[in-house]
Amino acid sequence: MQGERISDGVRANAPFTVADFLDGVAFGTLAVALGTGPLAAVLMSATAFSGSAQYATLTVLRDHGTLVAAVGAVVALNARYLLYGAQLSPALSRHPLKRAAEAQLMTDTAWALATREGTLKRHVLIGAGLSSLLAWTAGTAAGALAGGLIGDYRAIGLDAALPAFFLCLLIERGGSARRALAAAAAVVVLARWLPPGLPLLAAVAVGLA
Amino acid sequence: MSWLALVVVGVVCLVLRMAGPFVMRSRALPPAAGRRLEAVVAPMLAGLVALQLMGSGGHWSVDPRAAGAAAGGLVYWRRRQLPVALVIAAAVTAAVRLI
Repeated sequence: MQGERISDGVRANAPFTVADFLDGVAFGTLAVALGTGPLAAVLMSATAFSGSAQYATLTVLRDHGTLVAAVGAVVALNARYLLYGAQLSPALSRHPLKRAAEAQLMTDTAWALATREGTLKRHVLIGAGLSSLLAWTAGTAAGALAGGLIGDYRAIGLDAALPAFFLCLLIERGGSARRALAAAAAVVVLARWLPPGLPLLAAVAVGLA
Repeated sequence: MSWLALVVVGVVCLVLRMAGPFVMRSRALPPAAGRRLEAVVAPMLAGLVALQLMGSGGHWSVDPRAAGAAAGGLVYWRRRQLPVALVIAAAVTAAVRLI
């Protein structure tokens, strides 16, 4: 586990750091345009530190959906962190606080870079994850300021960013097309009768079926 | 967005990240459990797309955002650049609204 430095992680993560900043700008702009306060948007990026979780929360709460539904969506989307955490666990610091801080830096990219070539690279995780956390949070702050300047976000089509974001993630993550379509159909049908947000839990059921 | 939602979602993400290093330690999840967790992601994302494209109140209507999202998805499929895809999605939606 020696012979690798934090700067290796920073360098390997660089293209993703740029992308994370721009993604953060998009999230901050949209969150503020949808009525989230700038401070809340930035705090969310710094703590939740997960685009999918944060966009899912905006989606559920847009319709005044229940918090239970938002939590269900966040858990379903981010359960992979359980896998990452279990895998990276032996490489993390023994010191509880440092261990917690390092765990907070887990991202898809940092995990992929830190587990490359079959060895666990703690410093790469720290360099990559810290770059992404700073870029995502700073981007959110920049976007939140920009979002406050936008009058009617619908006029510039900003509201399409949410469905587009989830569609892009779906394209990237892949999975069963049949189950994806079944889940979409279930959500559409159930949304007529169930309180906002709850139909999403049907999508989880389709995944587990 | 309420502050309660902010805190709850932040804590949920924190717990998911801490569970591996603090609870499971190096005991790996059974592979079957890992596969089940993964299987939930695609239906969940499809559900979120569907929920987003429906108007508020659970009524299905095809609106300009569907065209925008489709354009963004196409761009992302060809070139994996999320910010570009989101900008295209917004631009196409705005253009369709103008027509």
